[in-house]
Amino acid sequence: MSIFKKITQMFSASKNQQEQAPQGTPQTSGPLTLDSILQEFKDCSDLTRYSIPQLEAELLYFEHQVNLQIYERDVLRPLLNIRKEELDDLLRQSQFVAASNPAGTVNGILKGEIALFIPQGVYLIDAYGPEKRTIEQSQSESAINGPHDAFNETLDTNLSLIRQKFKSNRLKVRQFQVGELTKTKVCLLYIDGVASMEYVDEMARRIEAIEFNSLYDATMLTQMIEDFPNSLFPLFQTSERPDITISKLSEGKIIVIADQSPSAIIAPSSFFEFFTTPDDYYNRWAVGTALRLLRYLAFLITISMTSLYVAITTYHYEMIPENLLVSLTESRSRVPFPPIIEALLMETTIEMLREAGARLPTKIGQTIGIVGGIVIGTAAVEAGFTSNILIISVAMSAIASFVVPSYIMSGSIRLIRFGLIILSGMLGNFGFVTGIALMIIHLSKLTSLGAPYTIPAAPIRPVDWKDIFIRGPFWSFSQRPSQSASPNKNINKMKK
Amino acid sequence: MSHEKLHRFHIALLIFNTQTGVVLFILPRTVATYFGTNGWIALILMFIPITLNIVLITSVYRLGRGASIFTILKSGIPRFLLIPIYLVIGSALAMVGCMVIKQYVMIYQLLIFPQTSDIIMKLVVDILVFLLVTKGIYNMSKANLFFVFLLITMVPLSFIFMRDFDLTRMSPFIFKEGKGFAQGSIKVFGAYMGYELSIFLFPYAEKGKKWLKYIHLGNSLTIFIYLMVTVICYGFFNYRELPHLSFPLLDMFGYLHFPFVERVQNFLYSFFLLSIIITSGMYYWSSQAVFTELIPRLPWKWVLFLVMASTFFVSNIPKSLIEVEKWFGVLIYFQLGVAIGLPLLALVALLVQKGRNNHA
Repeated sequence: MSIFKKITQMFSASKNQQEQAPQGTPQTSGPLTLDSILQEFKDCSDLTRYSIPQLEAELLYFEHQVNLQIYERDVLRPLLNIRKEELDDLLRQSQFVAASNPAGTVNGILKGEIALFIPQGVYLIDAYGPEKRTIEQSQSESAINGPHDAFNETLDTNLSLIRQKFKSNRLKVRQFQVGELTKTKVCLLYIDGVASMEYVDEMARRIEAIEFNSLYDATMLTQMIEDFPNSLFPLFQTSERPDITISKLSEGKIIVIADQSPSAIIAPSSFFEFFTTPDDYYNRWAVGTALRLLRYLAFLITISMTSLYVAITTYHYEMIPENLLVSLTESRSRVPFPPIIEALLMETTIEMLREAGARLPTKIGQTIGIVGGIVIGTAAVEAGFTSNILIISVAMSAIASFVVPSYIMSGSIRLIRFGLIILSGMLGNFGFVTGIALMIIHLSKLTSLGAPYTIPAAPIRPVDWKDIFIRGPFWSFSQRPSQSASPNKNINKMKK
Repeated sequence: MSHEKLHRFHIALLIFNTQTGVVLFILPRTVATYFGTNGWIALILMFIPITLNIVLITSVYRLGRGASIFTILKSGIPRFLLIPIYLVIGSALAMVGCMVIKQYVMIYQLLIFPQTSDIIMKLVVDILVFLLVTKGIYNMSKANLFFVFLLITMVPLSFIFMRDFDLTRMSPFIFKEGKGFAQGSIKVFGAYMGYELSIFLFPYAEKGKKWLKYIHLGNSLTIFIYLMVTVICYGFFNYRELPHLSFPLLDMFGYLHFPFVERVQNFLYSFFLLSIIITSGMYYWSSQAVFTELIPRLPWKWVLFLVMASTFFVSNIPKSLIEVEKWFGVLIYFQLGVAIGLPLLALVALLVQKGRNNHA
């Protein structure tokens, strides 16, 4: 372990040496003049320069970053309609903020502000308002019941969606900036008096500690702030739906949203939360419970079905009842590979089909599905490439893996399945149980923002079971989840 | 984010899963061989001294006010006397941990993989145990909850045999046709072993004395499972047949039939790996705790590695299951020494300390 650490330290040391000069920081240290700023934006052909000769004024801005209505109302029209002597009066208006140094001016222009150069000095006017996607339904978390709106890539819109649904001044928002180049705004949301301040401060510390020059999405951010970045399992739940975000906030959890990302990070998260959906709450509680149990069953099927097929057909034929054994041996007798090769081939094919289907446009994706279905369904069996019982097992595993609501968790589970198949192929049932034990040992050590990842199963918290393993009726929900470590446990009362 | 303490229920399940293991598969045979008719009553009889032994261990916690056993011993007994004691205890505990795996692996080899080397299989389990123990006792207890849950799902399977349970196979006599009460008592005592490791959990348990009852709860769970299995085996087979069956529980599970799967005994035996790694892991963890006390400068994970590596080589000496059982026959006396001797020694240390304080 220590050798590995030394190697990684060696690499990071050489990386640090290469990156001594921060890439996104403006290099100008001289006086703040129009020429110095233009020099900073040399070869940026999308920079707009507008001159007003009668005022000896120059405006610098990125047109695509600026809301043109604000620009015209707050900047252009007032400047064009005044005389030079009236300029000082105009500059007293609140939208004009004096700039003091070149770095601040460059950053301001990059953030969608308009820089006004006049003999009196340099002023910045906030007119940020680029084009944005409208509020649509989530593609990855579709809803049958309940609200259909989803976050988009604009931070302000996402904050507005949350504020619309959560009308309380207890909802606090702390803002950070991440990424030397992308300068992405990141907001940390929590409910004062409900969220644990220990978690809030820890999350703030982790966000501030990020040293990465580009941040494109919140899912990328999760990997930078996780407790165990090398774990296969996602340690923070992400969601594109405001209703989930609101419910998690009221449970005492912390939300992190980033600009240019439609995903909200929920922290701390439990392994079992990845098997819940908001639909559980919009259905009758008995139906919600049944669906939840179905998802846990799907999880068990995904990880065990193919690996047990491999273990049994390789080492434990005695476990198969006589009637089934006849058809299985008949089907297997034409297959020239050992079960582990057969299973890995089919699982890889299914994964390739899934990946191809996910990347291609819908219409071509359907074609891939049909071709894959025919190839796998009949041709592979007829060609003696695989047994038909394996086809059923692989198909069931694949379907079951998509029952898991979180796509990221579903990917992790599918990867674990491969490990279990290999262990089962090598050591039969013994290998299968070894794989299960390894998975449990790994899960037991994981924490999410310092809180146990496997709560409420381990550490055991029976009071939380009614909202994790089943979906209890609403009257039974009286306490916030233990994982939130909320200072206000009672879910229905706010402390004054 | 606060530092986790062992929840009392976790301790109960940890004790329960440490006690149970391969012994469950051979217990009905052992009881029938040494006690004969209605030998299962011996399990209840042995439960009494074991409960008293647990009371002795808990009294150390109460009198020592929650201090670690090592702190208690250090305060009353000179280090030169403690060093050989620690060496013996640490080695014995490590050997128990090692032999538990060896026995499981040899039975596995006997039943399922006759051509696979037991060394390779033991190495796989050793790696699992090492990974488990290096996560620390808190995470071990968390993993154990999942393991117990998976093992407990087998309990309802036992009730399927209730329809084949026949009282005519039992006898109205008690302890007739047995081979020896004294020898059998030590064997049954060995079946309950595992609770004695609770003496090493003092500093990790939650504050207060409530958790001490949960050692009894863990022990009670063990007797419940032992009794259930043994009584069903007595009624499913009979007291004359049981001594001739190597693994009565597995033979019984061999009769299970489901529409899609049958002869599940080997699969169920595979699942007992989850119990074995906890039993062995707890003994190795205790052993490393003892040795870390001897060599505090060495990181505990290295101590564990060295302990496991050395026992791995020793485990190659016994070549058959009978030899392993003979080794256990010797190791049980060391376990009894830890179960009874160590708390008594701690009480002496507490008395010496108290005497010193009064004198001062």
